[in-house]
Amino acid sequence: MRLLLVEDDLMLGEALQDALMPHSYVVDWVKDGESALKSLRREHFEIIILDIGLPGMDGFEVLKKLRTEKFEVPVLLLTARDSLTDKVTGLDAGADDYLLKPFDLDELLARLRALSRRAAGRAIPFINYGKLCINPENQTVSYDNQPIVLARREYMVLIKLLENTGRVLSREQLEQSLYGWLDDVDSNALEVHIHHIRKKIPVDLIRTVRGVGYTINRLHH
Amino acid sequence: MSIRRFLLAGLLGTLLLSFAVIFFFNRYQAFVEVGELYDAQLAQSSRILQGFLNRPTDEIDFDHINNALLAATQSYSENEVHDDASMRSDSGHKYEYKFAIQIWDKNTNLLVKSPSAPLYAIADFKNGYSIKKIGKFNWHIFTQHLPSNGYWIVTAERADIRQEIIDKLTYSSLAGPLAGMIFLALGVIAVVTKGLQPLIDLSQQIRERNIDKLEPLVLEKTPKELIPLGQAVNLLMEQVSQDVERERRFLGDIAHELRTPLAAMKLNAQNGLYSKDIYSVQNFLIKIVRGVDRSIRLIEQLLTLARLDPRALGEPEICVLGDIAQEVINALSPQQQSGVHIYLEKSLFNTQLNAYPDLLSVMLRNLIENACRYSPEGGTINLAAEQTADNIIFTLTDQGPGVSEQQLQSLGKRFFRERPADRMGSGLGLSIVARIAELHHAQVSFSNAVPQGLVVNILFPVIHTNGNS
Repeated sequence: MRLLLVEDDLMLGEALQDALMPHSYVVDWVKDGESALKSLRREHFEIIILDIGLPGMDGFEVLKKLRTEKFEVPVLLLTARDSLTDKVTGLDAGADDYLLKPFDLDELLARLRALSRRAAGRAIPFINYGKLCINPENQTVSYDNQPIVLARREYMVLIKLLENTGRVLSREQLEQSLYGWLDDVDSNALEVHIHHIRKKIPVDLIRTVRGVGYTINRLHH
Repeated sequence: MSIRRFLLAGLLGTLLLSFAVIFFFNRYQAFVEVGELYDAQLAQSSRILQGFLNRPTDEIDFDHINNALLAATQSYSENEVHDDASMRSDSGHKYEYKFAIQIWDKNTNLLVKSPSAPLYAIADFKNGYSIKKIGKFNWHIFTQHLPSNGYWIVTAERADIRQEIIDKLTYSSLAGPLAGMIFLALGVIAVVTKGLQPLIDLSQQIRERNIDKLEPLVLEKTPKELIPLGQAVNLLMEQVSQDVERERRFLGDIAHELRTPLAAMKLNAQNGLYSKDIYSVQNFLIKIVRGVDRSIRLIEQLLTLARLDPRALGEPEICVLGDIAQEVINALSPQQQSGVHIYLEKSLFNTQLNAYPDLLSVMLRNLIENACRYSPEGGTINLAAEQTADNIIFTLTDQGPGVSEQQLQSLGKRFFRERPADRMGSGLGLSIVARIAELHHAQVSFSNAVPQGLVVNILFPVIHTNGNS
């Protein structure tokens, strides 16, 4: 899952990157509001962690601008001020959630999961598709109650496709959610991941749409 | 002290005093006038008798006079109390017993006597007015000698009649003023109360204010005498609310600056806990230690800023900028200096400054550390001073990246970093410099050097001791 981190503090930014990477987030980090808006205009992010105390344009302004520009991406605000007005201002400016510094890693992860769940229109924490069940909390996948072990990027591809069932996702769309700016992208890496997923899950869920991309069909009940 | 009580006591007291003066004046006036009138009446009665008596003795029927007097005062009693209606009758008035007449011949035989008069002489045989106590009462007496036949005519009148008239006159003349006074007193109370109401309203408004509610007083209905007071209070409240706002913002900034490294440290600690290999655990521990160091530095800087209290400074001394700068540089760790050359120009050692040496040292340390932090490896920091007629100008130039024109304005504000967060500053260094400059009445300005670097100028005023300015 592609995440944009907007944090001017070197130490906290680094720590957040270290913390989020193992949890299947692809974290791209910018240190000011201007760069955050530029990145959003250029690429697709599924979630934003936004610090309020930024130099120059502060977090509130960034938030207002990106909502004016019709970006609907979920935003989690990080604030060091516990005054009520800050929270209210943040939420009213279009934030989806906020966290007061210092925060607990588990709480941060839970809130991020809740945000992507809401963005995908789910109320339950699990992703179910037929006999396939995914628990985002501990990133476990099972089929017919048999655990399946997926690599980090394989897991990310599967989630991305499952959250967009019935829609064909282009190769670029999938790659954008898999790789950050600092990652080297192999030209056939995506094919390799898809191949591995197909091998590990007993039924073939992923359909290749030639010349367009990949999709998982919507389930009909 | 209460203005209301003072005004009421003063005004009502004055009113009472004037009333007393009027009362005594009226009474005295009545006393004089009534006395004159009655004395004249005594004399006139005597003169009428004189007219009758001024002829040979055998022609006067004294018994006839005595009977007439007796008949007129038939039924009197000294101690009876009468109302006005029953005292008057067709034949006379019961008050007649309060008048007395005696007529004596030249051998002091009593010829005529009114029933109210005693048998002895009421007065000495001497012409004129006198007062004498007879029985229970004082009498006003007029004595007249008739030279033709040697008779003495004594007419007398009880003093209490006069007193009664005086009392009645004074009391009736005072009834009007008294009623007026009561209205006046009520008026005074109402006016004082009404007049002081704006003051009470204003204090009520002030009482409603507190540290969270410092909006200006509403002075629309306030009388113009109180407006300067209200305006002064408003000015004070504006200053206080600005101070409170600044403190609040500062606390918010501190919260931000303290919580951010804490958040990073906590994340790193949890990252370490979730790591499976010892190498990455160590890596996270190193990051935590860096976070702790940063927090320590921040807290030290905060304490330095808090200690810059003008009341605790003592007296300024003559300082040589070069000496202080040299001490600061000697105390820098190689890590802090990070391979930067610091060059002190000679001018620094020729410049003397009346200042607080400890503060100057803190100031120079912050400036030099700051310059080191942003200088490229192997760069140079240049420190110089220049003396003009009115100022001593201290200049520090580094070869760092400088700042944008827009950021030049924000330098010196609390928690503003020149290059956001890419270096490990506390964001307080330049605000400490600014505060120390302020305590020396010096001005700090920043500009960009050519081709690159930041120039810090501090303009110290020279205090002339010979009276020129």
